[in-house]
Amino acid sequence: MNDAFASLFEWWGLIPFYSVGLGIHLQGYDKFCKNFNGTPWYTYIGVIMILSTLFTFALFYYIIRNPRFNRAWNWWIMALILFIINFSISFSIPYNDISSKNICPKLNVRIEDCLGFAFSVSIWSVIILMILTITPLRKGSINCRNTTFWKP
Amino acid sequence: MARLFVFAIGGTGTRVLKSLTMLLAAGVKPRTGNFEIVPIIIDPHKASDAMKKTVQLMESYQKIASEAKCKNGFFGTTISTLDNIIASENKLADNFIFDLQEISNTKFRDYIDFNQLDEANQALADVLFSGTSINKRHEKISLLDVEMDIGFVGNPNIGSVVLNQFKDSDEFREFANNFNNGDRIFIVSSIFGGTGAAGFPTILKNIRGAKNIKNITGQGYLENAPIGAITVLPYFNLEADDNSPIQRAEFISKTRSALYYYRDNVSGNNSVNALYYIGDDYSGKPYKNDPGDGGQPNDAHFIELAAALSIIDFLEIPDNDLSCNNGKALRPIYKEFSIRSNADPIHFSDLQEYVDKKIRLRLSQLALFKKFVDEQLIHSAGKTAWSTDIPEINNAFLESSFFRNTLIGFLNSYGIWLKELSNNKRAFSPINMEGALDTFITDKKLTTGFLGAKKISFSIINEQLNKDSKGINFASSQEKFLELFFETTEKILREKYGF
Repeated sequence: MNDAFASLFEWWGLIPFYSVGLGIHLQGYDKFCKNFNGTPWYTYIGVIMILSTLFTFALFYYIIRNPRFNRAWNWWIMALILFIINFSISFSIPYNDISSKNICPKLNVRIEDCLGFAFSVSIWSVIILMILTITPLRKGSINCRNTTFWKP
Repeated sequence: MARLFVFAIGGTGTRVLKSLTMLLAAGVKPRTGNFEIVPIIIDPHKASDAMKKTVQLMESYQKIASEAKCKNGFFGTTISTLDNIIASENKLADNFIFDLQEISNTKFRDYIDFNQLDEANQALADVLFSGTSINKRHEKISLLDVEMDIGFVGNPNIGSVVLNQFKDSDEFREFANNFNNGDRIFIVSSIFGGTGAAGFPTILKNIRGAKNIKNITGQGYLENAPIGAITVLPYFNLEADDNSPIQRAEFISKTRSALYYYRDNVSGNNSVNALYYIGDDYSGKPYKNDPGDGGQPNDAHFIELAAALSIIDFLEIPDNDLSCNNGKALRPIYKEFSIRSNADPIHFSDLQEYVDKKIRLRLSQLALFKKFVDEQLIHSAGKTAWSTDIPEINNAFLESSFFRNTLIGFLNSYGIWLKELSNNKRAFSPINMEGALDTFITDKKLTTGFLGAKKISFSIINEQLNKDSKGINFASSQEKFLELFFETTEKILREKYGF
């Protein structure tokens, strides 16, 4: 799972938003620069991202029961909130590790890397929300079954 | 489907027909069985505004019902012209109006060829049609010189002669030829004027005596047809005007004379299976006395609505209770109408329980539908789930002729009709279209309930529409629009208003 999320957030190596060093840290490389016995942050952050996206989907389509909150721009508000939540979580975790020196110093990770990683995770959360939206899963919704990110 | 032929005679007949159209549009139906309604207006006063508006209203109704293919709910009862139902190639005018021949610009004297009569018959005509009237130009004239294109203005003796042409008309022939076993007839007329008072017994006699008329089929069915009728007694006040042929003071004496005649020739000989009487001696604000070309510009009146309900009531009578033998009703029924208290204005709660149950929900549904269309639809169409489900209720639908002209036109007429009923005396004000959602049913002020459980808003109606439209397939936007709103308004009124 760690590898799967690593590939996802690193865009299969195609679009590097953050350094290889941060990627190694998130895969669980310990602060003593010896092996991968550290926290597997890719998995944790990935699971949080998936769960928060599913919750946002459920919240918009099934939990909020307001017929006025069914427009495309309402969907984008939810996506923005999801983006911010994921950004905050995925930024704060590596940033805390840097601040508390809980990271292998040889990896040479900078704050810009944290921002890039947070951006990558947040973007994926929105993409997954979009994918969920275009599936028939929303069709059971009372008020938003026809709401997508482009209409109405 | 069995048919009900409604003969609406004179001005009152036309007004009752208008109320019936509103009731049917709101979804009021007989408890048992579906009937196709075939209205036939018999009124020589072709220029009457009330008649034109009623015909226009029924035409809109037809258009809406046929485009939306309404089966139940709003506009759920089929209304047809006589021409719509005839199987033969002899087409009639497709407009609900019985075409009275040789009436326009004709004086009664010319109609009976008075000048061609021999001396003895002229003397007889003089006796039968003695008296005076006042013409459109407010000139005093002999009864023989009455111009009949504004009706028989309180002269049933003239009306009974002219309306006898009924049996020889194409309309009667086609009506008789298309009258089937199981069909029914209802005659609406007033008794205190000319056209209705004369027309009712004349038409009744011709229907019951159809076996003697040549060139028609179905005489047997007609002779023993289930016939209901309502005779409307005086119910409104009228300005006194010495220059008018219509005088309020004569209403009662004309009514009494006609009732005497009916005693022997209508009720007395059991010609009618069900005869309804209605009237009101409440003396409210008088109507303008204007029998001219446009006709009496009377507002809609509660009595007309109650009279229209007699038609629904008649349809609920079991066939067995309407049987005839040799043109005579075996068990004639006589009914009157009452309300719980001498109220003015009348609200739903002032109606007898049976009537209240019959109309409260349906009239309120159509009113709520109109309120939504007027105040909310523009904000919801193309945006809410119910409107974006296929087929869509979007801007193209709002721009369509069906919606913009026909449906909106009808709903506006409904609003005007409600307003007229409420402004009239005695007033019937069960619904205030200008009121907010929680107060528009005048005898039902909503409370929000515990934690706002009973709160009502357009948003809540939208949510109910979203629920009700989910997973339902509709053939067209028109069908969806009417069926969905019927279902949703019923649920909202039952749940939130406790109907």
